[in-house]
Amino acid sequence: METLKLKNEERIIALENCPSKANLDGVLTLYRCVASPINEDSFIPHSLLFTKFINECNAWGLSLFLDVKSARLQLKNLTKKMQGKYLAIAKCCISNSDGIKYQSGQNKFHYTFFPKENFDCVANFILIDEDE
Amino acid sequence: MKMSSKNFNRIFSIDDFIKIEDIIFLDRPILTHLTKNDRDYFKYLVDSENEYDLFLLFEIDNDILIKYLLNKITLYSIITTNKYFCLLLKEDTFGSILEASIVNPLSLDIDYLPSYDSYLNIEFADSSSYRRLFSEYNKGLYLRELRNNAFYLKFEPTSPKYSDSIGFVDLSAKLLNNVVSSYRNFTRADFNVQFRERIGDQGKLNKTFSELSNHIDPRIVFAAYGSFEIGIAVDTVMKSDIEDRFLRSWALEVVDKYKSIVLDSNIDDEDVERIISEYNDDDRRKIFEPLISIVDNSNFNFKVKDNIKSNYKKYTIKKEIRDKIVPKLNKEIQSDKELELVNFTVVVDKNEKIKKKINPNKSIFTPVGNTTYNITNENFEKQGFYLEDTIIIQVQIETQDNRIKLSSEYKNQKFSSETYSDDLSMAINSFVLIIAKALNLNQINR
Repeated sequence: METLKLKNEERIIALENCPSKANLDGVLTLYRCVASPINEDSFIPHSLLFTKFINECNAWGLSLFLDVKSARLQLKNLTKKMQGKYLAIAKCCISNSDGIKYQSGQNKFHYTFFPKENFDCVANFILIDEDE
Repeated sequence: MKMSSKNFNRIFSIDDFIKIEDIIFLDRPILTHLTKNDRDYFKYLVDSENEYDLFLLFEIDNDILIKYLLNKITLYSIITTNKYFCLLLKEDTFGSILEASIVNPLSLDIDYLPSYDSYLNIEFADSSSYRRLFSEYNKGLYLRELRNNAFYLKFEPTSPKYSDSIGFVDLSAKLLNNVVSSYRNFTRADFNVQFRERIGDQGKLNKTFSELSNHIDPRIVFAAYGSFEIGIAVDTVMKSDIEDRFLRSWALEVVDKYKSIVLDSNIDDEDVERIISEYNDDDRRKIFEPLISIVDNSNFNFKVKDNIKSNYKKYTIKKEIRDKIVPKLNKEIQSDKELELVNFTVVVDKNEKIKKKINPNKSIFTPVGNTTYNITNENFEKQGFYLEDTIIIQVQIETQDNRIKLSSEYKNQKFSSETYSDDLSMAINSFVLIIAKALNLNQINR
């Protein structure tokens, strides 16, 4: 069976020590701050948008949170202007075959997800209700 | 790790700032901790539009940084009350700074500020380099807290010949011993007063008090050698493991009580009335006599202050007050020594200059290391053994490093025991049991 590559894999593995940790084994439901309605733009890695992040490993992935609460708490530390770009939260159940995921950064509840080439983010990330 | 960017900018450069961590990362760095010349800075993403980023760059005091990391203040308040200049930077997709201007954070558009309740609210990853920072800070906090609750004693020699000798140290140690005796006697007396009704049974009262002793044991939290000055505090931080709330609140208040009732340099008639009504003759003697003997020692001035900020006051007790509080004994009352093992924990700030090193394993006052104790009929009866004859057995007690060694000889039999414990009365009780069994004494069922 052909092992699928990650999205942007050549760019990612060109960086030293990237992905920087091994995949966290198993299935995990993770949450992403997104714009509403949800579209492709919510899943473009920032390393593709900003040249200055070409060498920033985790900017080639997507930021996810272990639960809704930690996502919301983190958003409070963004300026109101920036919060405006993330008016919704979407959830996705991610398994080993979907890509690589691991805890990254200072926040224990923050994860970076590198999806596989064929992983359809828009289809797999489902917006949650306001009160969830 | 240096910030890298192709820098065509002549306005401002952050190339020589060193990145410590991205404190907040959401797809890309949002809040970055930088340093330069040993000062801390925050680079904070304020807006991002069409491949241009707007940042705030400002200096932050180290203790404010720690408070933010420890969830004690909001990012909102850090920005709006920041006393340093705040730069607003426009950065392009390459990381070059195109524009830089100084802004007053208070006049920033509210959209360029985080939420009002922007506490960091994160649990730090195990690998976070900030964890070490927290434990240093917490240790410092704990010591500061103890020092704030401490009372301070100062023994000043009245004659220069005392100021520098080993004799001074020894003598100071004895004086300190007296203060601590006084304190301990006070805590025991006050405990009995407060809890006699509630607990009732004297045995249970004693037992409960012993259990609490650890919690109210004084610690030396400050020491300045020379003119012997020390701070004594009782740890209030750890009190949460006392379950009973009455006991807990008593333990939290007992040092303050001691300070205000006993260490008061201005005991007046009203205070005397209260002291006499609360505590019996014997207790008052045990509490005040150790202090009186210090006061009477003309080689020293004994000064006290009850918090770190106030001034030292000479501690005295006027003769009329003394006579009321500690009436003279009419006859010699024979009582055997009341022995306790005394353990003191020394908490010292290693960074502070103290001229003498305090070895935490060595108490700085002279403990009663080796002594004798007489076991009598009463000791046996307490454990249910009845003796026909009157019996007095002298026991040698040696204490060393948390070990209690007891030895004795009676009717040509030698007895000895060694226990790892700091409970002397328990050790003696076990020893009595050993002797009782060896002598085949009859045990009466209670």
